[in-house]
Amino acid sequence: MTGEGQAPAAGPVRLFECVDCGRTYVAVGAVCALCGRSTKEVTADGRARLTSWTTVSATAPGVEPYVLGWAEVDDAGLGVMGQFIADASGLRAGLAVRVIQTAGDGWPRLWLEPLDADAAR
Amino acid sequence: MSGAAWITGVGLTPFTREPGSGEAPLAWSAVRAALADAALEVADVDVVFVANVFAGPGLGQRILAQTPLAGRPIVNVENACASGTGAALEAHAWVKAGMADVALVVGVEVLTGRFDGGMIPVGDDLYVAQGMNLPALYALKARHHMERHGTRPEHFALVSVKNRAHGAANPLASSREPVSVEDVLASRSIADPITLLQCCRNADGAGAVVVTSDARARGNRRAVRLAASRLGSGRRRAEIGWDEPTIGDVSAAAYEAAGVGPGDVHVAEVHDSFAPAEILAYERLGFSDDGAGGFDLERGRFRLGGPGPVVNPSGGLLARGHPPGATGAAQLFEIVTQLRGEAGPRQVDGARVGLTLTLGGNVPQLETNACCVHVLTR
Repeated sequence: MTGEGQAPAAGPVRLFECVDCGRTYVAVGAVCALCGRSTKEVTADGRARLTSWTTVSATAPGVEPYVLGWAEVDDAGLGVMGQFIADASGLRAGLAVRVIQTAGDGWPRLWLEPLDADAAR
Repeated sequence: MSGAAWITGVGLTPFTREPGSGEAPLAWSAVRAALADAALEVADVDVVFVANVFAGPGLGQRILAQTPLAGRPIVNVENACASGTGAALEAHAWVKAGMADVALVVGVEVLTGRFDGGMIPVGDDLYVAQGMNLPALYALKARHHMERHGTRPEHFALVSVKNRAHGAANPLASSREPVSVEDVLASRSIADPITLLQCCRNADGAGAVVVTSDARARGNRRAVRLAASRLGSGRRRAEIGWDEPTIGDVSAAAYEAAGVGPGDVHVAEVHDSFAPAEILAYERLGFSDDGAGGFDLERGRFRLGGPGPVVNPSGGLLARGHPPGATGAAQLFEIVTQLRGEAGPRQVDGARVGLTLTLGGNVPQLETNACCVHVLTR
């Protein structure tokens, strides 16, 4: 499930947007958590800013350590947790990242990648 | 609403590993101790609230079936790690509503044989699907705090150092060996900045608390007033981020109900499942200014003998061990013992106002399953 070093391709992120209040959600969103109205699917370019991260060393058996991050999606008021497609060196608060979404087993998988690879070095 | 609610009896087993032990003998041991402490008999009990997380449905009925408590109303309470204090909240409500004069809270958990490593949150979760485990969740909180406030890994390590030092004086704690900052930082990384010695240990154990009405507490000089009992559940982390607002909201309501403020609290037992959680708790409970928790700890606050409030004189989850169903009862046990002045070498001098904070979280999409705050006074 995790840490197996996949290399997902960049593409639009599927979000769910409330038809009434405009609040957006990742992955879960049949009902708006703010106002209870229904949602419609929209896409975003996935630009976000990193605010927290950790290298998970205590992993499931056979899984290499991996980096989890938390990023705030620009203009959406929405935080996203994803695995980094990069090691943790050079990560810092405010780093511009891209959220990449791939199909998962039930829930979608979300990945984070520094927008400017040089900025993470 | 009738009068006040009082805790008149507490009982706690050692928190340790009990291979082969079931929930029933542990729970009965704690119940007998608590009833004896309250000078009450089984026949006095009006209702029983049984807290547990992992043993499955109907645990209260199963473990009490072969005891004289069978036939009493029994309510099972599951609210993740806040199950024990959640059960106390129910007992408080029943007594305050006049539905019971004597409500018995029992918290019990046997983790041996269930988890070899860390406890696992519910699997069907967006964040778990990304590879998040519980230490990683607290690591993300910790890093956020570090980036925002300048908190350092040494501050988190100091929580473990303090609580292990406190636990050394608690005969019921599972980890009684003191550790140094260097020991903590050099222990195996789990999810940076969290190292192994910043994680609570799984344990087996049980606790019981007797909550009574004014009528049944009258004349009991060791009764401790359960002045406030409040609970909140968190909203989705995707929207609220990492500021942990529910602790602040619930504690504010509890302070108001008890007629005290954070500056009045002499002793607190707070949820330190992972060391950074305690620093967040200082701030959300109003003991420290926003961002100042680690620095206040570094200056000597929160430890026995230091400027108050003293936090986790029992050793907290970090030293006492963490059987989730029993942890809330253990927190209340410690505060009652402190307010009675019966805590021996770990006594907080002059303690008259105490607080417990328990956080239950196994649905990581939410800030917390349940945040439970109790204020006790004497």
